[in-house]
Amino acid sequence: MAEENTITLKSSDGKEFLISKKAATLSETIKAMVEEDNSSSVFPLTVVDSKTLADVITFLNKHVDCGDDDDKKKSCDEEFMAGKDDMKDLFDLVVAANYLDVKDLLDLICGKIADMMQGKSPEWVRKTFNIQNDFSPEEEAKVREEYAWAHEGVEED
Amino acid sequence: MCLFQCMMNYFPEEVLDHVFDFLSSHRDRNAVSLVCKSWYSVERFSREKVFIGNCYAVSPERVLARFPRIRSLTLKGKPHFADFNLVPHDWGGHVYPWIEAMAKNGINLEELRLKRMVVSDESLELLAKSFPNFNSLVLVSCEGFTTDGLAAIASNCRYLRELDLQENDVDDRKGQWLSCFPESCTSLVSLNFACLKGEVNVAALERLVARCRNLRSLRLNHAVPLDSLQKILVQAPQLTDLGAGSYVHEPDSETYMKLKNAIQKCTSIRSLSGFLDVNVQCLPAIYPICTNLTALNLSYAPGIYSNELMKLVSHCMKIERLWVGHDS
Repeated sequence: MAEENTITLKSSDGKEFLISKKAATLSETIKAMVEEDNSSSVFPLTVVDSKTLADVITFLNKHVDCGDDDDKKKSCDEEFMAGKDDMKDLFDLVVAANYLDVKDLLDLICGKIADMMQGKSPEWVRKTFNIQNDFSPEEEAKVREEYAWAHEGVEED
Repeated sequence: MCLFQCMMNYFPEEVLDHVFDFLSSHRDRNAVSLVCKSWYSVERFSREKVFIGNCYAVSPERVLARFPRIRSLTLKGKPHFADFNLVPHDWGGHVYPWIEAMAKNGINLEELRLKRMVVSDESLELLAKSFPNFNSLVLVSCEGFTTDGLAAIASNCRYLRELDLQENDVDDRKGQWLSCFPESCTSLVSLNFACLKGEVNVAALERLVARCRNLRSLRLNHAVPLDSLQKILVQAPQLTDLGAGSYVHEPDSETYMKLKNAIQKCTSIRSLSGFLDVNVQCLPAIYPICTNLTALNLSYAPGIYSNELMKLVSHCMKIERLWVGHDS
C-alpha cells in the first residue's frame, strides 16, 4: 500500500497516518520536509497530537478533492467546521495550521475564532481563552483612557 | 490541566495577528487590546485602519505612536452643526499637522477620509508627494482648497483608485486639474467631482474614463454636458454608479439618439444620481436602466418633479433607496 504517492505522518503521541503526497504537500512545512528528504516515507510531526493531526488530514484530503473549485471548497469548509466549537480543539488546530503552514486552514480557523470574539468584552475573551490579565490597574486605566479617541465607533453624522 | 492552561495562555503572535485581521470593527479591536499586554502589542502593530471622531481629541503624534502601521485614516473635524454656519470661521480643524506628522514618521498611508476639515492646497501637495502608495482620498464637507490641490493629487498619486469629493467648498482656479492625470493613470475605480462648480476639460475626462477600465463609480459635475455623457457611457458600459451632470439637449437630435443607445448597454448601473440641470424630455433615455436600479438620488435634480418624477419612478422596479427634495 505504501507507494511512491503516499507518505506516513507520525503524530507527537506516536500514531501513524497514511496520506497522499498530493494532500500532504498542501502543507508548506511538509512540502519542504519531503523535498529535503525524498528517500523517507515516514515524517514525524513532534508538535501535533493524533487527534489534531487526524482533523488536519481530513481537511487536506477534502481540499485535494475540491481542486480549484472555490464553491466546492466553501461547502467543504462549512462541513469541516460544523460542530467545531470547543475552544481547546480550535486552539490546537490553529496552532497546527500555523506550524504546518496550511494557509486555507489557518484562515478558516482564525476567521472562526474572530467570529467568536465579535461583540465580546475583554473579560469574556480572557475567560474563554484562559488568559491572565497582566495589566496593572494603572496600565489598564491608561489603555482605557485611549478609548476616547482610538476606540470610538464610526458615527453617521 | 496545568499544561492545558499554559497552552491556552499562549497564542503564537503570528496566529493572533492573523485572527485580528478578521476583526474589522473598532469596538472588537478595542476589546482585544485590553485582554493582556501581548494582545495589546499585537493589536497595536496590526491596526491599519484608524478612525478619529474628533481631530482635537488626540495629537497626531500620539496616534502614530500607538498605531505605527496605520495605512488608512479617517478624521472628523468640525461638529455637525457647522453645516448650518453655526461654527466660528476660525474654529480650526486643519488636516495639515496630521499629514505632516505621518510624512515625518514614514507612514505608508494609502487612504485618507476627511469630514468637515480644513484642507489647504499645501496639505494636498504634501499628501500627494509623501506617500507613494496612496490610493484613496475621500473629502466630505471640507473647505480651504482649490483645484490646484486636486491637480497635485492627480499628477502625483500613481495608484489612485478613488477620488471622492462630496459637498466640498472648492475654489476653482480654472486649472486643468483633470488633465493632470498622467497617461499612465489607469487605476481609477471611483471618481466623484459632482460638487465642483467650475468648468472641466471634458476631452481630458473622456480620455481618462476610456483608459480606466476598472472604473465603477463616476459622478460628474454640472459642467459636463449630455453629449460628453454619451461619449463617456460608450467608453464605460461597466459602470455601476453614475452621477449625470448637465442633462440638457434636444430630444430629437442625433446626440440624444446616441445617448439612448449607449445607455441601453449600461446594464450594470445600480445607482443613479445627479441630473443637476435637466431637460425632462430627455428622461425617457434612462428608463431602460431604471428597472435595475437599487438607488436613485434626485436631491440635486430640482428639474425633476411631479409627473416626470412619477414616470421615472414607475420604471424602478427594484428600488431600495430613493432621495427626492430640493437642494437648489
